[in-house]
Amino acid sequence: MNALLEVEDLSVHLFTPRGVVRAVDGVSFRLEAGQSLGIVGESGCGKTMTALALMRLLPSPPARIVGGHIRFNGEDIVDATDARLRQLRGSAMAMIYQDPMTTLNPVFSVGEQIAEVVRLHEHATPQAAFARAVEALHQVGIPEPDRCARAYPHQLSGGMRQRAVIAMALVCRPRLLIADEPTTALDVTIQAQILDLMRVLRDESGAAIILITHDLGVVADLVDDVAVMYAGSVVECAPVADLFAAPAHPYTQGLLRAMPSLERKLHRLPTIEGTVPSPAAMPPGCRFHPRCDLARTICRDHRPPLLGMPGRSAACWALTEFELSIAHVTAA
Amino acid sequence: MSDMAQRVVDPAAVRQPRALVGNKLTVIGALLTMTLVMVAVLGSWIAPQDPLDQSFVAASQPPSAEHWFGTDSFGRDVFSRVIIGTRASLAIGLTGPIIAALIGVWAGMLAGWFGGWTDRLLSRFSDLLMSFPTLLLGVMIAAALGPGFQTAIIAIAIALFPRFLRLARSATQVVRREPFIDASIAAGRGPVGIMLRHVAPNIAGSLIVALSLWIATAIRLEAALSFLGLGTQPPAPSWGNMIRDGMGDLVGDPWPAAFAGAAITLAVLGFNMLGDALRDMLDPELDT
Repeated sequence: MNALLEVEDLSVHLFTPRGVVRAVDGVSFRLEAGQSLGIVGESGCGKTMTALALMRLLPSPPARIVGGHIRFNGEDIVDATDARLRQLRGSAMAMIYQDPMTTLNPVFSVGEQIAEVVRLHEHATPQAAFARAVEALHQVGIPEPDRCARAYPHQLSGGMRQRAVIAMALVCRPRLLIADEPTTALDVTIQAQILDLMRVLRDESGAAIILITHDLGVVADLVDDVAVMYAGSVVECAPVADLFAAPAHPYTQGLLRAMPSLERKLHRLPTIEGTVPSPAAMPPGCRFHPRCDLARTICRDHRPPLLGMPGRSAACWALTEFELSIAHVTAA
Repeated sequence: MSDMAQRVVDPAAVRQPRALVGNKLTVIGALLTMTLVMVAVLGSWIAPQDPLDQSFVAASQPPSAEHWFGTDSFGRDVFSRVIIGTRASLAIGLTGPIIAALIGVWAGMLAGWFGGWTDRLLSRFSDLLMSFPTLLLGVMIAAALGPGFQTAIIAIAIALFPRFLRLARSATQVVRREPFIDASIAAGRGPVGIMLRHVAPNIAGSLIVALSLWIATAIRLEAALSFLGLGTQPPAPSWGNMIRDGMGDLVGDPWPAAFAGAAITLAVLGFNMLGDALRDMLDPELDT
């Protein structure tokens, strides 16, 4: 099957005055049309850089794609011209940003901004574009979409704004939707609503979704597959149920142990000892080995490759392909 | 579903220019500038006498029922001259800064958006211009091009253009970091489209305020250039050359200089107050 998005060995480096930072280091994954993928990891692990690279939105300077391929519908995004990128952005691939408070332009009404995206990509009269905007607002569950379309961003609550942002991303029916922490800036109750909405939209629109988050709960709710990133590379890839049932990589295991649970009664949540290595001073070998209980000599000297079968893989010397397949079977 | 139930404020109610009516100073500023523009436009109908009509019999008179503002040393009616002078002062005072703004804002947005060499070139060029005092630069340009109406406009435009460049550049640098700009790039807009559609409206507030302040400056500049004989050429009246003519006999006949000076003061004051009023109106955040 031909994948909608195929990322192969993607590397993004930041060229700072103090040296080169390998923000994304050899990331690969694929995404079928209509599927959803969660990219999880702690702050600074390169998940946002990966997401920005997919649409070639990296802040440049300092960031630059130094290697790898991003194939969207078979077309390599890495070599695409600016004109082609402008065509794709907003119509074939769209992005939802973290903070709905600032992703809307304060001087235009919400409807005008959504209509602008329509007019950018389709030949539509201003009236028709505005009507599409109202329809999009209705689609994301905004009551009285007519009035909302005429309102300015500051007149809407956070949840309403995020709905408007989502409406703006979806108005041209993109085939790929990248959501960078879409719920982080929202209240918990609003978070739940937005997640519900995204689940509905995923099923209705048929768009493939890449969800960037540090919240494993959000991932469990919304996606089919998960890629766990650590220090710039993917350490584990798995269907979401498998990941929670049988995490393969010690880092993933540590993350899941650190999640509060209703069943387990604990006085203190376990943590993963140590901190994420600074991107400027990466440890040699496996980047997780200074924090890993299972670290051996080989971990210090050689980086483990991402091994396993498609859709279920991990990068750890402590695991063999055999163990991975067992984990897969037990989870299923 | 707390946010769903939340009422959407009716946008029609918000668009009212409430700020314009709310503030006394605002009203005064707007009235002053509107009056000035009206006077400039309707000057020939309002002026009771020909501003160029000389009379040695009626020279250097104080204000009277016949000559409201008195007469100058040539016996010309000062009231009529002030009224007709408004036209020259405003025409130059408005056109100069507007041309400066049109060029300067574009250059500033380009510099602020692209940074790097574009920014360095444009900024150093404007630094170069700004290293000359505004009036001196105006005098130099006027002297080089020969005195006259167009010269005054060009001189003022060149003297003020770097100010708009700087302001637009720094404002663009701030707006450029806003996430809605990233969002617009992600929606497929190119740099020029974003500058026109998202940067310009967001920096327009401070630019319009600056514009009205620089119009006030330009009116002073025009007066200064005319005073030095480089702007509006006699016998055509402008506030600047009226003050110069009046300088000869400030003790015996202070009226031409005094009334022309008062007109300059009122015009500068009016545009400054209008600038503040516009700032209040243009900031959507103040409307909540």
